[in-house]
Amino acid sequence: MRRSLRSYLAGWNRPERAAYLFIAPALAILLLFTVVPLLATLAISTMNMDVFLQVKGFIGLDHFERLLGDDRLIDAIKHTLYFAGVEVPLQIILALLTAVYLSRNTRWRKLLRSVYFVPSICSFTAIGIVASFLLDPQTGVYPAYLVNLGLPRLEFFRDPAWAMPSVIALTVWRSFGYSMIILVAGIQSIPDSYYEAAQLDGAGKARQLFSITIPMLMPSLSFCVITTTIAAMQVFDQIFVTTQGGPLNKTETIVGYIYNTGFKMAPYDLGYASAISVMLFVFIMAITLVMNRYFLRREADMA
Amino acid sequence: MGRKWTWGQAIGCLLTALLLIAVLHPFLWLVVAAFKPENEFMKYPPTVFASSYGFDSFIRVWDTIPLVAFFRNTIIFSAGVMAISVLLDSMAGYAFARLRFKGNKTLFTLVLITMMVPFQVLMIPLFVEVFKLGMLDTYWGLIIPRAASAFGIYLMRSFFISLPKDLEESGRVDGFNEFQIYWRLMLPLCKPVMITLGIFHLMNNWNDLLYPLMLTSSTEMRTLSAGLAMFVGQRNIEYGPTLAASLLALLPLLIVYVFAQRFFVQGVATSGMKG
Amino acid sequence: MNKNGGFRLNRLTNRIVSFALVASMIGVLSACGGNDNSNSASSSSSAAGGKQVSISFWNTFTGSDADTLKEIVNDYNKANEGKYEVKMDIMPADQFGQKLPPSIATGTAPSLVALSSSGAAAYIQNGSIEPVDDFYSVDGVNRDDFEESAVKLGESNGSLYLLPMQVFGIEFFWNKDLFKAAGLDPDTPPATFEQLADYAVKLTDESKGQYGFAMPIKGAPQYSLMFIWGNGGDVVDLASRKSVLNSAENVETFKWLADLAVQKKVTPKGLNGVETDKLFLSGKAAMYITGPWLAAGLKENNINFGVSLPPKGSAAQATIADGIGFAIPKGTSDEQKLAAYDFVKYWNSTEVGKKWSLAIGFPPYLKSVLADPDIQANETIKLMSNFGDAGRTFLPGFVTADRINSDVLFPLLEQIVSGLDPVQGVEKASSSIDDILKSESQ
Repeated sequence: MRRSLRSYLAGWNRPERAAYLFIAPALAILLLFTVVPLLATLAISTMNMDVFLQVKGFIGLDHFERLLGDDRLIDAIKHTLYFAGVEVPLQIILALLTAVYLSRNTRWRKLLRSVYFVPSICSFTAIGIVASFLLDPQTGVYPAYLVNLGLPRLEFFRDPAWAMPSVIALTVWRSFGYSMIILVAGIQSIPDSYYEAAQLDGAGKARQLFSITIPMLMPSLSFCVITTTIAAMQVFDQIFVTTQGGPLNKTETIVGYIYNTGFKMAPYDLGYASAISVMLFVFIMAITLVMNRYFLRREADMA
Repeated sequence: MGRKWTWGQAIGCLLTALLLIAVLHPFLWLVVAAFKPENEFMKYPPTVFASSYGFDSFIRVWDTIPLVAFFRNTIIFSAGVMAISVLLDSMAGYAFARLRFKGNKTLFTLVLITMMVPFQVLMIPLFVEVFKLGMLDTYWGLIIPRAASAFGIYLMRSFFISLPKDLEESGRVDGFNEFQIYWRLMLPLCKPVMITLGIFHLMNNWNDLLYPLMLTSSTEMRTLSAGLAMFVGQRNIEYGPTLAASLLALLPLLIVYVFAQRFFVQGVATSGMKG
Repeated sequence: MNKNGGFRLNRLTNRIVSFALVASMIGVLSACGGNDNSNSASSSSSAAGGKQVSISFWNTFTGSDADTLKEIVNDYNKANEGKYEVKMDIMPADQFGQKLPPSIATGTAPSLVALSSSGAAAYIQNGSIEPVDDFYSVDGVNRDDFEESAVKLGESNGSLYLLPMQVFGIEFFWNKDLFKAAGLDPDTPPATFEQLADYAVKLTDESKGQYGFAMPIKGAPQYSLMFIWGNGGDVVDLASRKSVLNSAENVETFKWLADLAVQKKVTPKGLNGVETDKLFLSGKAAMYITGPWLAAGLKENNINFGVSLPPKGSAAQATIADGIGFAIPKGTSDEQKLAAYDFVKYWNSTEVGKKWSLAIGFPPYLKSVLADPDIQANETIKLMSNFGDAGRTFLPGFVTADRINSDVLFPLLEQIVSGLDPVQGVEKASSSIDDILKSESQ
């Protein structure tokens, strides 16, 4: 009895079989609580349905046809791409620079890391209030600083041209700290021996950065780039607490539009909102695939 | 002390200090504002510093919301998610990174796909599902749907991948089974990233409003973020109490983070190998 | 750190991390076990013996009004111990809107909710809330004590769906001190639109950051309706369900508003409702059209203000009548419904009505409350409760009323305030309204 149990268990102790045991619990949860709702969303996108879950008929791809002629959606897509195109590089570059600079453990650097991380743990509600006071065109402190520096008084969230840059700045302020600590963790996982060897070869700091740190960091760096991009394509919360899509709809993003169509007020068009989500999903998948292919090639080049 | 400063170091110091101010300034404003009396917020033009400070906002928070119960719920929910999810994510991430098996790529793509749909849209189907499972308004109903995350699996995978290639072999030579290789050899090397992921899960769920609100149906089960929202009326915002409550909600996370920093150890990979 | 120190720290780390992991798991397990049975969904929590009926009540009264609301509910629960219990769940409006519909669909909704009269239309149309006509035949409910307009607010297709909780009109507020400083009579508000424009210019002083007439562009009552209706226009023709926004009189109205904002610069640009309230509360706006909720804040901030109906237009004097009502979601049992009625009855008693009115500064809709000497002694409340036949409801029974307001009318105002040609704007807005109206079931 014991022997057979043991041999049975030993059968699972081969990497190619044990792997399934390792991924099973996580996969089960993702399947049940994300993939199933996702499939439901896919189904809903082909129906006339509202948030009361009353189905008023199957309409096939009509919602997707409607997507094509929806000017407001096209604007929302443009705004989202603008946001992602500027925010992601800024956040990653800032996070990478600070991570490289702060990866060594000294008291001062640990303190700095804590401070840079603080905005990431602030609630969006609080951030919205703080921003509304500090950036108020008439009474805010920051517009006043600008004037003192001899610059024009910016209206930040209220100026159609500056609203999106303001949202981007706010997002970088809030999020770079988190990317930074992921990169710090990545840098700290690089074995010291690599650097020791490089030092023996007489490589300077800059050479070490480009020939050891960044190549060795590629997996976590690509992780940061891809997840930040996915998050940026779904940007919503920081806009919801600041501009709410305004002024003149200049900061309405795809998820903001989804929220407005499906959930904000009647008629709650859950079907159409789901169709937009499916479109966004395809969009994000395409971007991720392209990025992933690029990074895989970089990793392969290094190996 | 007697070290000579290079230009690079000086510029680095200057830039980090500038960044420090940029990051800290709004936050300090928040801290100061939490102690201002409410009518200071209506002053025109508003001032950074008030003429008097007090704990009025905090007292109001204490009187208005069941702070202890909300803290308890928040801790159970977010720490529960953190503990389970870090474990499950790291297991799955390990397998995807270091074990060869059929369907590795396909399954990993499936995992990534779960990140790509905005949560707002998944919320209603998820609500119905949790209801059908009879888990509405329970702690398990809050924790289990979040007990594994694509973000975490992906993060862990990218770290396991960068570990030295011959690690498994040394474990197999020592007679470890597959789980022991993961648990005893690999995990200790990933401590910084596990802590990073744990903090991510903790703060995400700690601050989440829509998800815990949808899946609970009584005030007794609510989390801090719902309490915070109590001060934001449709017509008016109670600025002081909102900021005070945010500050109260933020402090435990900050303490956890500062504490967790101790475990960020330079070059763990090598010291682990030697140990 | 040397290697030794690093190593010791590592072992310590191991212990602490595993301890924390185990501790939190235990915490989770025990907490879950303890809570599963004590907490069930809203329905059927009648105790052993079936004596006490407990109902849950969802609403969106976040902010300071919640204090009084909680007090009233607590008083009610104390007075009805062993019989009825109201468990209140207050949540922000956005989350309320996302939570309630699927809750009704899955039968996990509360037995009582508070809905705005415009927001209720969608619930009424798809049968998600129950008719409540029989409330007025409950023992101890005197229908004659209610203002007829308050009762009618919840009417749709001949049935009642909302029971009055809060009824109000949109008011005209002015800052008396600023009037005095500008040489205007502080006790007389402008009587006509022309006067309003004239005063607004006199009261604007950009160098002091002071504005004559505040015009928010979102998140506020739809004040442009006062001007549209006042000049004899309307937004939608109720019978044909078609937009009439592009009528000649409306174009004139919006030209006039554009002139105020763009040429005369009487308002800051791009303010939302909360920001405009703040401007008025800090004494930097002289005139403002908004709801009675502003009054409490004005008193707190010692602003010397007056309140009245909005000025008259070329055709009429008009204001928006709006309100929040109690509704009973579909699937509520008869027992729960009766318990809910009992609480609504309590709410609409003279004593509670007076308490609510005085505490939050809203006008009463119960005749007995209005006649109360304490209410009569309160100048502001008395002024606000008297809007005669000027009160009109915006698109009654239209599911799309809120959407037309926030997706068309406010964006139109925003465009006009930032300088877009009103003629063009009104034309485009009108066709947007027709698009939205297509989703109304005819």
